[in-house]
Amino acid sequence: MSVVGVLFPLFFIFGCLVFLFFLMKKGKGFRLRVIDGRKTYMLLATYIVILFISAGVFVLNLFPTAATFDGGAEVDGILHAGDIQDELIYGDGSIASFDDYIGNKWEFDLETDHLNITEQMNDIYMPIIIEEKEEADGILEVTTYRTPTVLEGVDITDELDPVGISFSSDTLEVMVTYNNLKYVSFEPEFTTIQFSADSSIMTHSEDDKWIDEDDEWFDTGRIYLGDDLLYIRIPKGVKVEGSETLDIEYIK
Amino acid sequence: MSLTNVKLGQIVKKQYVFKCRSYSGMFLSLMGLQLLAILLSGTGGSGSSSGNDYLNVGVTYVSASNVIVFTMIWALISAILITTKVYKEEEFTFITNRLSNNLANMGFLVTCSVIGGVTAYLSSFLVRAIVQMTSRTTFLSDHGLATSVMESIGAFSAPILYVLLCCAVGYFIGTLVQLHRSFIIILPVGLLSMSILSERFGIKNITLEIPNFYFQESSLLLFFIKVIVTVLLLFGGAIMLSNQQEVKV
Repeated sequence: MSVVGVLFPLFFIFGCLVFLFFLMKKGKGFRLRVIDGRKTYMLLATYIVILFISAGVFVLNLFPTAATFDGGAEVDGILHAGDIQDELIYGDGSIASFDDYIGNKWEFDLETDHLNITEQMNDIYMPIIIEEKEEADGILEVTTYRTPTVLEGVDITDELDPVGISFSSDTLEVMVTYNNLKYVSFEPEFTTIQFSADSSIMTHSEDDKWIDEDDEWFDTGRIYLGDDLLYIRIPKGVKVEGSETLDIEYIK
Repeated sequence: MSLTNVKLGQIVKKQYVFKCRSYSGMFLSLMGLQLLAILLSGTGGSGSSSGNDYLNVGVTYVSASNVIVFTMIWALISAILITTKVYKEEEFTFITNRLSNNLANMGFLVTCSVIGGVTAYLSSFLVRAIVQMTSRTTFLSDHGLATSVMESIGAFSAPILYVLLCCAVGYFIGTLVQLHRSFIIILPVGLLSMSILSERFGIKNITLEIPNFYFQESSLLLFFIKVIVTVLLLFGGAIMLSNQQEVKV
């Protein structure tokens, strides 16, 4: 983005305000005729022309911005990493049913009979599932699962930095990057929403506006945050130790 | 007794042209208010953010609704203003009666509504263009503009109708106040009393129900009918009320 692009609108608005102030000051009284009718209508015509030009600038996208996401992401219900963990431990689901959420996969050679899991920042809650393999093949398999992060119906999961893993001798370190993301969303004016197909936002009460039985809050906007789960397959006979903040659960 | 027989239409037309010239200052205040609203909308609207241990997401919502609301307020105040004595004295040079004066005022207010509504609609593009040029963040949606024909027609015509409605309400209130000064007190106190009483007796709050009657109408045709009928009733009421006023010599 150029400096001109940044300063132009500010100069434009500031210039308009100065011009308006100058015209008002020049007039004899601040009641009806600050300036005479013809000048006012010329000013009004100029204003309308500027508005039309801005409409053209915007519609033709003459100042292309950074990435623009297309909306319409459909999310089948709310899913947290903890839900996957519960499903695997207390339910009868298999990890294969969550393949759509796989982030990364790693394989490491584990030459000891114990594994120490640490987390870089020491204060992050992360569910971890440990599955002990039937054979002692000396291979440590690590897979990350990430549930969707959705804003205003736009899936931005891929914009987040992935969870990193480092491994040395017997220590597996989980590296999480803090993501601080900021977005701009153009909202339709209330006069547009009023006659749109989904005008329910205008009629809902404050209590049920954002969370409906069918998770309709995705349609009406707002933010849904996903999170991460670590799935680790360890060779048979390996003992695991981990940081207190890590929520480690075992499955067979 | 005048020998010239002037038709009502001609008088109204002359007065209308005069008012358009004389009251042109109102359009200056319209532009000033809209620019202020554009500035407020363009420099950041409402926002929300959410976060967990390793993620914080913030969204700034940009919309030109402010501009439409500011325009509606401008229309309400302007319509009240033109019923005041100061404005009426400007018309002494004309051969006029109350009907022609009211009709010319209404014609001027309709003109104000069209200009105010159209500029409010167009300013939504200026707000978006400013944000697009100045913002360094990523955009979640393409434009947030109308996506269907019905939405487009609504987006264009609704601001005009809302501004017209505000003009009619303002004109009626202004005429009422000109009839008797006590209405300056009676009107707000009456509205407040109705709110308190409806709260106490558990009945619907009419001061909230009246705006909902228009704001919650999702059919453009019905909305159009509601607004036009209301405007005709308010303008008709204003004409009848102004006939009750004393003659100025």
